[in-house]
Amino acid sequence: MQKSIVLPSTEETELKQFILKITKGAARKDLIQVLQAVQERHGYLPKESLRLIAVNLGVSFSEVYGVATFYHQFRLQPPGMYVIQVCMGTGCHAKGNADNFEHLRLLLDLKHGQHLTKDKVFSLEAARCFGCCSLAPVVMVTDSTGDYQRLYGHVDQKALKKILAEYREKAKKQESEPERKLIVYPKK
Amino acid sequence: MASCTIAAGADEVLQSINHTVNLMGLDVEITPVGCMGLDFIDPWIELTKKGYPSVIYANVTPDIVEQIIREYLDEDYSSAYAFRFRKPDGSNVPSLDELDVWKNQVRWISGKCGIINPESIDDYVAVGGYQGLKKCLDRKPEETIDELKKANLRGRGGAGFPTWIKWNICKEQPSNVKYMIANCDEGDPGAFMNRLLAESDPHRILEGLIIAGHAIGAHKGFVFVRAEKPLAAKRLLKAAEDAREKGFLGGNILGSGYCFDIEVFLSAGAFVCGEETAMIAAIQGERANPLQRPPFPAVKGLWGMPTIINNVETLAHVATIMAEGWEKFAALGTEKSKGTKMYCVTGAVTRTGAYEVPIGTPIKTLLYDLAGGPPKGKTIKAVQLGGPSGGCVPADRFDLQMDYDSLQSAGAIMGSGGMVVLDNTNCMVDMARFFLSFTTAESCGKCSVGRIGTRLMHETLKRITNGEGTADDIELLKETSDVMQQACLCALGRTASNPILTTLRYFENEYADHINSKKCEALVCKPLVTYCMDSEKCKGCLVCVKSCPVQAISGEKGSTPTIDQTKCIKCGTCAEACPFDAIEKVPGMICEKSVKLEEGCTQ
Repeated sequence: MQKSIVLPSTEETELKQFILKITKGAARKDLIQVLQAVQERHGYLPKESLRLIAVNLGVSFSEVYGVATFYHQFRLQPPGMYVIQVCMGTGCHAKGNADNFEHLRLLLDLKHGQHLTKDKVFSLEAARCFGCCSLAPVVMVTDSTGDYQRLYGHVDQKALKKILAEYREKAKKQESEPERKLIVYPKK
Repeated sequence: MASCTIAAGADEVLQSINHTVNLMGLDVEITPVGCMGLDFIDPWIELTKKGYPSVIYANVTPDIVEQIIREYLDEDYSSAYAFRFRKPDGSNVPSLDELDVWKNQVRWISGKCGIINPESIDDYVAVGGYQGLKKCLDRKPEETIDELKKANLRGRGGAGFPTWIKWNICKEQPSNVKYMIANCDEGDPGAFMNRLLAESDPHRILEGLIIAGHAIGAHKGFVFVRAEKPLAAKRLLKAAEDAREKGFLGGNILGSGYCFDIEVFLSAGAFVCGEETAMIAAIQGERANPLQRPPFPAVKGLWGMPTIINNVETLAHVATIMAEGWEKFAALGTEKSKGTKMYCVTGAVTRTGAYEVPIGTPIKTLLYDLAGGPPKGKTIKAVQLGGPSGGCVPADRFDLQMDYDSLQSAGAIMGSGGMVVLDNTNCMVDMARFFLSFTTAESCGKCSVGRIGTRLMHETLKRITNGEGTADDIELLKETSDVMQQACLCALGRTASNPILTTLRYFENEYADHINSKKCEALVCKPLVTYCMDSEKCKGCLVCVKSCPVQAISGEKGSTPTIDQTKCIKCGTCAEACPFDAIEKVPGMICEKSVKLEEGCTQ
């Protein structure tokens, strides 16, 4: 049905098979769901996946890229082990989450436009409203597999420091476990 | 057990309850319910026992669960928040109906939120659910629309268009294929009533959706939910599954011969999806670019077929009206707008939450009687209504009634019903800049007026908040917004300047402060505030020197250190670190105290 694409690593073959599987019987209208499925599995949308999706759905690469860059949900860069999302809704802004964001950038030593820390433990994102405005300002921590998610309310500089320390500790523990995999498959 | 209560720690409380109950050997039924909208008491639990009153406990933590249960069994209710129904004689704890936050509400659609288990269809049926649908299936679609016309329900998504007119247009279309979409996208930051409804009473939304489908002659419906609200999506999916099983959804609904099925669509998140044509594009798997209207979606919508999009709050109203009758609904509200509306009050108030009141309730009632006014030591300056497309209303106009028309006259809009309360620590210019940064990022980029206009206004506001504003900037803002209001393709662009126009109208002095005196009195705009050392309070401990992340503070032990203002990034770490509160944040670009001191030295 389609041209075979030579992929070097096992990870990429795996990606190719997964995309083949989910695009089976899918049409142009299912593009968003397909992208969501790939992101759920891989934590982000590798460039190669966009090409494969385009080929399999019979649409142009530019169209897939256009959709993937239009919506907030899609990430084109690999996330850190933990993704810290800072809510940028009105309620949180009024309670000073913009300062919290800056402070996190400082704590994580991120330069402007950079979102992933050097050790790849954290990535920082600005999020739209989580709808938990009564706990404003809020910060959400998600692990890259999406299985774990926790929202922290009423955060300030001290709380942020504590949160970072907690997850650094967790990351260390995970690192020391030999069985750790880069890609953890969702249970679904 | 809704997103907000879980975030506040409801999961841990539930675990603790399970554990305690097991330990105590009690025979109890634990029912997870949705959110009552009283977010300030999260996480809360309610205890009920035959012969005992129903008691609500607020801000429960895992470690006090056991104590609460023991007290309850001993009929000691002193630590309770409120009684659900009547209170026993002589108790100091009020009943819900005695609380300001409860008695001023009319819980028309949210009445079952926090009472029923949202994941149980039997619970919903037990409280009269799907009765409205039964009535509607027994009669002609015209009669349903007529009932809605009598109720005069206006769309709760913000624009306030009469729902029955929209349905009627779609019903008149000759096409065999029609679609019905429930809008649960809620892209508006600061509003969460849709999420609350979907998480706490999802069947009400589904019932409204099926009734709407029947009235317009559609056989396929979509619920458009944002992927950022996974719990809402999960509960809606579960609700649809259960409804299908019970015969409320699918083929031959309740033996009437009418077929209707739904699909839950997980939106990938874009504010512009609030625009109907953009939402349709999203469901078709495309970029959510709006289209020129007319043709309206009611004539030509999803895949070119007549489509109705209603907000989930509107649909919840439809279900309730059909069950309870239009008379009760029309008795509430004002002459022009009937019924109730849910508002999410957040920001500088003591009781944040989602409240349902009749349309036409004054802002004052919502902010002071329901939400409890500002926290101690603060004063409310304004309230922002309707999110990024809305505007602010200053404190001196708080007797304004909350209805579509009065708000429009004040320059704001009802919008989805988000109310963010701002106090003296919020800068109005910064709020305008914040909203424009939002609309700039969310502008889809299709029409150049929207794309360039939002950007231009954002850059101008950025200049002003950076202290680089000039007197011409205000004129430029007004001019740009004028062009955008006339030439933009969709409502996002046409209303993007509302936050600027209302802040300019009511708070022009703050703009003047930023532009002329280069000061931000609210201490928000960083370039226009300065951190100052108070040498009288300072003990020279040098904690601040160590705390500064950019090494802008230097000094010797025992003397007051100095802040190098050119290096300072105004992060405030030093002020927080200082054990003597000797570092002060002051408005303006220079530190007047230290300037005086230096002058004194040179003399």
